[in-house]
Amino acid sequence: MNDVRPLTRGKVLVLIGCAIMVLGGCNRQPITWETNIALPLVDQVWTWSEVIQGASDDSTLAVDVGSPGTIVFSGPVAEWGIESLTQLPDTIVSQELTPDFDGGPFAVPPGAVLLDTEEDIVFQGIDQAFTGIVLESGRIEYFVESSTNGYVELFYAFPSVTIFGQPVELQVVLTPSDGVAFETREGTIDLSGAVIDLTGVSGNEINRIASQLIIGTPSNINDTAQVYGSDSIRVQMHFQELLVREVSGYFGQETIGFDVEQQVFDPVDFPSGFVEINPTRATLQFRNTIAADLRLQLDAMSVDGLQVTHPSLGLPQLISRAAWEDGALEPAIWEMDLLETAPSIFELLSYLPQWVQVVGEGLLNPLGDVSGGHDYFDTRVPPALYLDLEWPLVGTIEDFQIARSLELSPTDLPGFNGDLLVRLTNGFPVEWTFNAVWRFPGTGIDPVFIEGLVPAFPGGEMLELRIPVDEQRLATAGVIDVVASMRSEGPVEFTGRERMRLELGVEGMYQVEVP
Amino acid sequence: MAPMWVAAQLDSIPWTLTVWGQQRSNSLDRDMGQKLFRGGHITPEMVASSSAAQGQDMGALGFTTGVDWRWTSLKAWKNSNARICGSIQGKWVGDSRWTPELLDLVFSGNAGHLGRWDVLDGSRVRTAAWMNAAIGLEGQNQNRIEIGLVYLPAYTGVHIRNGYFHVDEDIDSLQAYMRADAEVSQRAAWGSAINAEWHFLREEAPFAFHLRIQNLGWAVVPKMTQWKVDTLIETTGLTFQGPEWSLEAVQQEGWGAGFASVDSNKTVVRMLPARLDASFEYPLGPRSGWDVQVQLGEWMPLPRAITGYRRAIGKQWQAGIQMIAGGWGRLRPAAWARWRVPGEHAIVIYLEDPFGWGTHSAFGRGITLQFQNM
Repeated sequence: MNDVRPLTRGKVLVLIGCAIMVLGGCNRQPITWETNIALPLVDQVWTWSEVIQGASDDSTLAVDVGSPGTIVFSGPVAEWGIESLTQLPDTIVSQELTPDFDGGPFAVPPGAVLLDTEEDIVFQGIDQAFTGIVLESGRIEYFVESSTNGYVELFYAFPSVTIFGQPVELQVVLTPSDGVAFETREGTIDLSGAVIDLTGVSGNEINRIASQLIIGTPSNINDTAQVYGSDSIRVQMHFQELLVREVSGYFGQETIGFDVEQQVFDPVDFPSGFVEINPTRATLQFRNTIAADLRLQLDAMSVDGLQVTHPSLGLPQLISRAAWEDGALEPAIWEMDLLETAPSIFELLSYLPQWVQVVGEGLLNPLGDVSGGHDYFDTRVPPALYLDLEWPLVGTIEDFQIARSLELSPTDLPGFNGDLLVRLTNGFPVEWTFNAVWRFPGTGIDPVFIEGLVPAFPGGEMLELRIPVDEQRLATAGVIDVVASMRSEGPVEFTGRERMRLELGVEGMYQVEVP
Repeated sequence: MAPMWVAAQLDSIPWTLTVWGQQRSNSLDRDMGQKLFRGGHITPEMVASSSAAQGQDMGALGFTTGVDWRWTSLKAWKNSNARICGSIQGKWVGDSRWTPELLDLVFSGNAGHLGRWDVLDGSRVRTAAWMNAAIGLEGQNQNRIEIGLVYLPAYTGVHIRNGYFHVDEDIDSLQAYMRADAEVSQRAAWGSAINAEWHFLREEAPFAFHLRIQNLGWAVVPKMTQWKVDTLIETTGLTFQGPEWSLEAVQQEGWGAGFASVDSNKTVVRMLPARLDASFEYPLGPRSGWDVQVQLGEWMPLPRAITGYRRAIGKQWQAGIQMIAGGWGRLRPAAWARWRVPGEHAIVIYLEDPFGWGTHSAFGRGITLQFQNM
């Protein structure tokens, strides 16, 4: 037997001391220090493309380098929407089945068919004779109800409506009604991408969807329905918001107004100034992408409300149907030479107008149904006005202003105190004036004003500024409004290689905190 | 009754309880180390002092703390000379390294050295905390071997394998490259480790030699989240607007998520930071001796070499002084004292860099307390 002794007081004290050491050092606070940073933030280069791009975001714009350089612009400037071909009216179809006897009840065994009918759903309110459509979007909202004291099965099929090759069908089984309230069921069928044959049950109709409705008792539920003469079964199908992607048939003789108002220079981006524009080629094309003849008459053209004339204005132009073969489009094109306007439309454009307006009308199928009901329209490729422009970069520029706004999110840099470095490098052979305001809407913080003159290239073409910034400004949501204006002494020739470069950097001290 | 029984059992067998804590750096003085560990404001003077101390060497900071209870039974095992022995150990080890440029970049910023390439290669931080409950046999000369069950609740690591950062003198271009990985254990790991000791003690030999290995083992981390980055960024600045590299885009939520690949459910095996101690004792006289010790492993960037002089004072006291080099720090002194009641118990106190307890400019400090029940 070993000698067993109790722990002495000294040993206990040692153990307690050890525990205190282990548990010590748990009281922790954040670590902070100050650090000096210097980082590049922004490097934005504006070429001729960026300078002009704001005038038409959808256009195809290229700058051909040369002496002088040339701006080549080729792209749509306005599209022609035809609502009657792109949207089908909402249509409601209702069916009600009631017994043709009084009294009851009569027992109806499982698997009995009460109604089996095929009929067309007719889209009312369509002036055209459509034979087929492909839907971009749309839906059927259905609602069925029954007062029958027994299970009711309903099968509604649309064999001429397919989605990914599968016909759209609705199958509903209603549980027995309690004799007081109708048993109901409702839901939605998405028709996005649905291919719809509108020739009806016979295959020779127009604007009709073939349908088959079968109402009966389900064969797989062992229940005998008790039907009274007062019972009813109702079905309602609501076709809603049917937007068309492709449509075919005969589009009729519809006159469609043509009123295109195209923004050219947004005054937010181009507040003022003058840029001499002398294009060597300027053609406005109307491209008919519909497989239907069209008679187009442009009645008027104006620039910011100022009318211009052209020999083609007011004269009807017959534009033949577009050719669609195996999904490939060959549009029919009519064009007018914009260099023949009076006064010169480009002289007006030199003053940076906001709007160009073209007004006219078009008549579909002016010669009637010459295609035998084979008109076709793909709404993804609508008829459009195209501009084909070649503009040599030679001319006078007077206070041509470009404005941009940049929203800055708050940046949390505690204790920051330093400078925002602004460096502008000018590659244009003209002088730029640079004005910017860094403002803090909704706060009492004073805005920061930045201004400078960037001399013309070559020689002394860089401007460098240091703007003091602090923690408060960085931590506040702000907006920087920049206005750069260009001015030439007389006519200047540009090569197309010109660049304006804005560099922003930050240098200063801030306090890092690690929790 | 139960505490009394435990106390009685504890007093009936030889056991040793050791508690220690030490922190050491080759460049961060006690003040800076304390701020990093406990928080507070780091002044530019503290950073400058650390930077000067580090010079062009790789910076290092490490710490280890824990408790170790070892026991040996008095009863022979199966009629042999061996006795059952065991230990329970709780340990927390941390290691970090950094290049001089990283220290400068993090604590001073880059504005003071524009145009310099800041190299970050090899910088890392890692910590592990675990418990090892081991059982084994102790033979002659207190030679022993134990095998233990390891419970590792926390394992974390960040390692920059290659990296650099550069902003040119005109502040108009930035290059940054990072090939790094990080991992954090999401669930506790289990594993196994071996502790072993071998002592050369001969009456005919005038010296003694000891080998001791601890925590040689591994743990399976069942759920480790790992991040890997291998990204080069070269930019002269962002554009105002655009889909990816623009001020507009970088302010969007989720920007930059593609820079790192994340695997949040990985099972991995990790070696424990094992340690090997080899020590040599040579008597200089009947009451004095010379000690040499080398310690390897435990994530120390350099082996720790110790040499010292010991002397007995009276019947109950023994004391020594040592010089230590390597480990996480530079050359520093150490001192220890042992008070013993023969046949009952002994208490040891060991202070590494005793001056570190009185000055803020020392590069760490360490204390070990040991109680031996004989």
